[in-house]
Amino acid sequence: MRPGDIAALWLTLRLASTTALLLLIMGTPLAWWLASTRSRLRPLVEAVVAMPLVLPPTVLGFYLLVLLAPGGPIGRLWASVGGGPLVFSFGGLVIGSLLYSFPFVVQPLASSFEAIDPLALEGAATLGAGPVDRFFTVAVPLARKGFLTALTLSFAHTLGEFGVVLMIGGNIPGRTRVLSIAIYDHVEALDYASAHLLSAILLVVSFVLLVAVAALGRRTTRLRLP
Amino acid sequence: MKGLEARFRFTRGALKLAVELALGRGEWCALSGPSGVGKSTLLRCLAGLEAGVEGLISNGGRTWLDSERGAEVPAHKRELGVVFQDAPLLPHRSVQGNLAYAERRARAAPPRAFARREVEEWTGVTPLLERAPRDLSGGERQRVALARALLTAPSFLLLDEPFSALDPEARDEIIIRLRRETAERAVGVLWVSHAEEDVRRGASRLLELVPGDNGSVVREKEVLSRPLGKAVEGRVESRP
Repeated sequence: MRPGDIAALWLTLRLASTTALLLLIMGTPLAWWLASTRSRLRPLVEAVVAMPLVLPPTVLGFYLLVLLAPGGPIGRLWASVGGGPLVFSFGGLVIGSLLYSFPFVVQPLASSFEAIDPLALEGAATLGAGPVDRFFTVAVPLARKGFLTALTLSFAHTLGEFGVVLMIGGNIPGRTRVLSIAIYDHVEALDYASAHLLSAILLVVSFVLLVAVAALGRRTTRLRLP
Repeated sequence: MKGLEARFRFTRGALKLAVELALGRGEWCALSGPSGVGKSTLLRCLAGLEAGVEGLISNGGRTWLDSERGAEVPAHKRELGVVFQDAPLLPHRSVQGNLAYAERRARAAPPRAFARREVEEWTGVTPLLERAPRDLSGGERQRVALARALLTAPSFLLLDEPFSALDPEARDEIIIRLRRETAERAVGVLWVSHAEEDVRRGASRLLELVPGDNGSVVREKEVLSRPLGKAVEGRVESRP
């Protein structure tokens, strides 16, 4: 493997794991809210969450580029508090990936929260468990499959990201050049051997992740009880 | 000492409650009434599980609900032990895990609290401790639900057909023991049952929820003069 490709692989893994972990932290409260609210805002919020599923990634990337650029509203605000440049940097890639993979965290989490029997939560309340207590001792364990799915899907989805990254990160070797862009470059340069190798890596990793989700999901249902 | 006092109204769809109710500490009240009159909903209102209850609820002089002043104590802070018919246990915890969950959140320490080992024994859950809730029969689940409610050290027990899935012998046995254990700790009991028999065996007071002009109302049916433990035990002895 070419040295540049190893850097691209490392960068991709770093981006995917950072994104998946941050999304889990950010997506959980929103998913819980969506699953339990009766607010009229709910359809609106659901639509916004689902947008990255239907928007072309280049559109998402384009708007982000406009917003995050040094002259853009967010870019200027960020610079005024002393932040470095957001576009063409790892930070920019993370922001792009967060938006791009958001539905892959919120949707499985929200549906596994919705599947929880409200009577189990009520029961916990009558046993003296407050809202936060109930969330961590009842909702989270009962939604563990959703957490696992969310984590894996957002990781795998970020691995394969292309359009958003290209728009907002460009193609700077070692800094914003992720695996999918490296593959594109190799094909452009007719270096099919390198493209094959990297594609195979992505294919195998994604497949293994999905198998792991399926297998773990099956096993957790027979988890030993405390 | 003041007990549980409630005067409230509640409406949901066609169901209307206009309840006035006072339960003393250590009193056993049976609540009967035609089905659909709102017995379970009444318990849910007392337990703080329904939103939109209007009126006053207090326990031991402490306000749980004063809708006019907008004051409400949430369900988890009301010192009640609740057993609803068919309510699930915590599905991700074993029987033991369910009991520990309740005990860890108990509202009082011994002697008011029930001792875990003892409760496990007389509710008959000792052989079930390692089992998962989904592997329990209906009757076994009811035993666990009762044990769990007791371990929270409640000041009142709200029981909604708590022993419907137990056979009569087991039911009698548990009722006698529950009666004694609650009396020792001055725990009040409000017990909903369709079976008139059940209600008479356990209760010192009979209440009835009946439809009224402005919603279902609680009516005092009769006060039993016979000491209760005797009535229950007498029945068991006369069993062939």
